Amino acid sequence: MMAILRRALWLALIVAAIAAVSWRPQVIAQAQAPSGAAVRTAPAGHRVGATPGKKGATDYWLESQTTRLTAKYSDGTTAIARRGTDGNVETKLSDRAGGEVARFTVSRVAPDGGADTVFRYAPRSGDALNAYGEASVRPTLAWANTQAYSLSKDGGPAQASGLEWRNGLMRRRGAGARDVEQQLTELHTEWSGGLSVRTARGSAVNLRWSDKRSLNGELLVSRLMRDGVQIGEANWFAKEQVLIWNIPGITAGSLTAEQMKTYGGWPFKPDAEWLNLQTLAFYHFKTAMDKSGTVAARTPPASRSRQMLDFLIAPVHANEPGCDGLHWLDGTVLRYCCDVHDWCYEKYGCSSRSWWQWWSSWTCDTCNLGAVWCFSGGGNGKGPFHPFPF
Amino acid sequence: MFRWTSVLVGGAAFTVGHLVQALAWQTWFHGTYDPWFLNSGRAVVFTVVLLVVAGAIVSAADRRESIVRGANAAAGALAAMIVILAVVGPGTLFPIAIAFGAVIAVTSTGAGALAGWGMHRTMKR
Repeated sequence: MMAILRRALWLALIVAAIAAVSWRPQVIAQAQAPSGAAVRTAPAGHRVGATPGKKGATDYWLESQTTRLTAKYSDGTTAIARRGTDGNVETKLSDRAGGEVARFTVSRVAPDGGADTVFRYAPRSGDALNAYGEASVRPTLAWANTQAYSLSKDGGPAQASGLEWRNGLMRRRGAGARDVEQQLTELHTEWSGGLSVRTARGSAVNLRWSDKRSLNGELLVSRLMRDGVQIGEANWFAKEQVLIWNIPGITAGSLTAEQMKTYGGWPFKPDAEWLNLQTLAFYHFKTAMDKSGTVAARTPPASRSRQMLDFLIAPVHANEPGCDGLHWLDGTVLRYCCDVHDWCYEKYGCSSRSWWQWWSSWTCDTCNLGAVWCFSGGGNGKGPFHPFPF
Repeated sequence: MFRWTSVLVGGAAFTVGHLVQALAWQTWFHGTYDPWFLNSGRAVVFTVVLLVVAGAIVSAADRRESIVRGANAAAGALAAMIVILAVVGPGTLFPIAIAFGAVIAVTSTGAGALAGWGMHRTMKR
């Protein structure tokens, strides 16, 4: 009897193994492109990067590092969105007194959200709403806060049949237009690594800028903190369309609509969520670049004779991360100048010969002049005469 | 104006310094990139010391010509620096590297020349 059972067990195991082996290629085949399908090629010179003004992978990656997002609205409502370890999002909505008004949860079935996402809005009183996501909506913490606040202000969902999608939000049918962004008074993004950014709305009156330009009107003030200590700030002047940032020792600068004229000015409307992520991006990518030092690819050192020959005949390309011939300065504020110069050389295919063959490429000359300007300004990117505007 | 001995001493000081750095680049100077004095903080200090000594030696010979001899030693060191940088491999920032090197050479030999002038004065008394 035992022998029969043992034989049956072996038989079952063998059948299971065969089934698994034959099943696995089917799964792989489903995930792969069908055989014989033509490979789509990208023609040279064709833009394949992200579309300016639309959120891309970098933006979503930065957003995914946010652990908690707190939004305060002009009517005293506070929305706190948290991201769980499973990627799901929950927003807790509180009134001015701190009492819970509603909870809104986003449960992801598909990795990118879309129609496979399930929402649940549970008000303190009344029926809860369960709904499927919409293909064009990619839920983020900011979106969850906005959605929860909007549903609350609409008077709750009533019935799912009484809802409609409007500008990426579920709205009660017939509800009036609402600009939630304008009702936002403060947005606090808590990010990974002890970093956080708090943006508040304010106004500027004849604020003098370095080029003697006055800045007025609506203002978003963003303060970057690390472990509770302020390490930088960024300001967005909506009327003047100017972004100014300063993270001492890391990066400082400004960006105006005139500088963005390639894209027809700012290709999107900057808001508090974007400003928080952009400020974090300034800090994160610059410090990461300083640590890894990877802007230009390193190539193995050539022989002495080859180096001499290269100096006389062949161009020497940007081949070392950091300050070529000045690596003693790699750990200083001047490193920024070197990285920008390396990046510029990589982008325009320059070589050390462009310093003396200045007639060969104006773009390379610009890279070199930029490096000289940056070095002479002590690595702050503002030139030697800062803060004087000439 | 040219004091060829001072030029040679300045050039020799820099060249000897570079050879020592090349021989003990990873052990003494903790160098990561190619041996070149501006690629390591220790090598910068070592070169500065050598050039100060060179400046002091050339200027100590004649008190009235201390500054001229010091300047000639700096010119010699700068010429050697440019030749060695060309051999080592000029990086993408080589003019800025030469500018930095020139500042170091002039400052170091200048300090050495002042020291030599002071020594000469002390010995005369």
